[in-house]
Amino acid sequence: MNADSTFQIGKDHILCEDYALAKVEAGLAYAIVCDGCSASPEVDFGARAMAHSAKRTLRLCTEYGSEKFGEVTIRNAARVFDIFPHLHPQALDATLLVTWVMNNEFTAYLYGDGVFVHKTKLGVLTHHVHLTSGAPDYLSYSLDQSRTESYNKLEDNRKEIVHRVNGELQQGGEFAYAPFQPLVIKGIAEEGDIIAVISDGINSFRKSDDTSLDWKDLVGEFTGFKNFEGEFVQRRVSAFKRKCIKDGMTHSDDISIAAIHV
Amino acid sequence: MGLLDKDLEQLQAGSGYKFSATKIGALGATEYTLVSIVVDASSSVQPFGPQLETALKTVIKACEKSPRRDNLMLRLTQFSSRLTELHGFKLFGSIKDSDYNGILQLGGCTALFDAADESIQATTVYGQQLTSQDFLCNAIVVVITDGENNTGTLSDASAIKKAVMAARRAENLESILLILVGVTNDDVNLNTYLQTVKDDGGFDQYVSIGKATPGHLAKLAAFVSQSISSTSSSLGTGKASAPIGNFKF
Repeated sequence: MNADSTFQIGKDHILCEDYALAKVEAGLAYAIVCDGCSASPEVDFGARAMAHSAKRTLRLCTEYGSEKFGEVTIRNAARVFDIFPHLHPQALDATLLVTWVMNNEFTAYLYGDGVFVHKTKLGVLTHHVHLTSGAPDYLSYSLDQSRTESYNKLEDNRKEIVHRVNGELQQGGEFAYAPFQPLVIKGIAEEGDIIAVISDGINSFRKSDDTSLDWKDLVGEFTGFKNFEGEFVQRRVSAFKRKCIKDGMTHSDDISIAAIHV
Repeated sequence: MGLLDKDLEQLQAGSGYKFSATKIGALGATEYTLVSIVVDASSSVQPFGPQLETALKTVIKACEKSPRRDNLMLRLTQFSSRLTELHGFKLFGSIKDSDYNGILQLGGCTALFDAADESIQATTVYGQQLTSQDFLCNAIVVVITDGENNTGTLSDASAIKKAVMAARRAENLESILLILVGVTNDDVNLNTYLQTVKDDGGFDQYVSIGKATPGHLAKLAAFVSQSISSTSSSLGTGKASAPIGNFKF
């Protein structure tokens, strides 16, 4: 097994507020992506804290349900405010997309928006999470009841999840989740499978004529790994970025991807 | 690990040249600088052969200390009446300077043009393979000679220029820097000849080290190391590194 990750700053950003981690250790492979809220301060730090906190949670226990996993992760991440009391209280406003493989089984918890990808010999399965309000349901809101209440009062805020196989919408493949309900995916991971999480920056790509690029058309670029040794995700994304430069494609939002090759 | 590394595979360049290189499946980084050192092993090199080997070892030691060490691969070839690959493209970390003890097999004529052409073609082919597998690559080829071309298939330096221009046109390598080094022993005619080879052969730089003294060969090692380091640092910038100027021998 191998795991790798990368994160890239978007055209409209000064700081990259995405962060990604991936590693294989002691039979556990994990891939984590966090996307900081660009409207909240110091989230570049917060996204990193969240990712490392999730890593810690996994090391503690890989059997936590999604609710417990999220609770343990955010409470541990919130310890940064004890060490850095001047850190902005909204610094932990970040999505958390985490997946791991152990004993040929994978689990994924998606807290917030983004994309989950499972490539097998039979095809590519994707889950796309989108919040219609554009405001993700951050785990950090659980630290402040008033923020949770404000979020719940957002009008027309639906969490839409669309399941596709080889890019095609499956019958019954559209789901509506309640806010703060994470997407949970579990399954078998066979040798050769690729399991990846990608931040919602994949929705922000545009061609040279400023027309938008559909994220479904980009999944293949991000997960079309030519080989799986070492920094295989960084290689693929760097090669794709060179193509973007050549073709005049840009992405306004930060983009991050973490992937596991089984 | 010795020079005969199980991670090397045999490949073929366009003109039928065979060469070896680290299997792509064994490479873990995102980018590499492909370094080729092409060394004259003709009979006239015999008086300073051991010092030349010492210079090569110094290059290895210097590059091992580079922060870019894991992104460097080196291929070493020698030429006399025929071309010999002493080792294929290997990661610097897998080369010990003791591997270079007695490595040069000296004796014969000077197939300078064939050697330069072969090295450029091998570099281009391997670069193409790496690029097709998403690696970013650039290259530096350093040809060291103490004499005029007097044998081999190619009798015209322009063939080298064709090879390097084809490499640049193919755009598989981000850049390729070609350096000619003359161990001229202060021979003015040889120096003039090699200046012409530099121009006709499309080399980016020609330096003459003059006499093959231990001091000059040590400086040669420093020059080659710095050129490699500069080339490696420029990888990802979209541009070739500028040849190291102001290097006095």
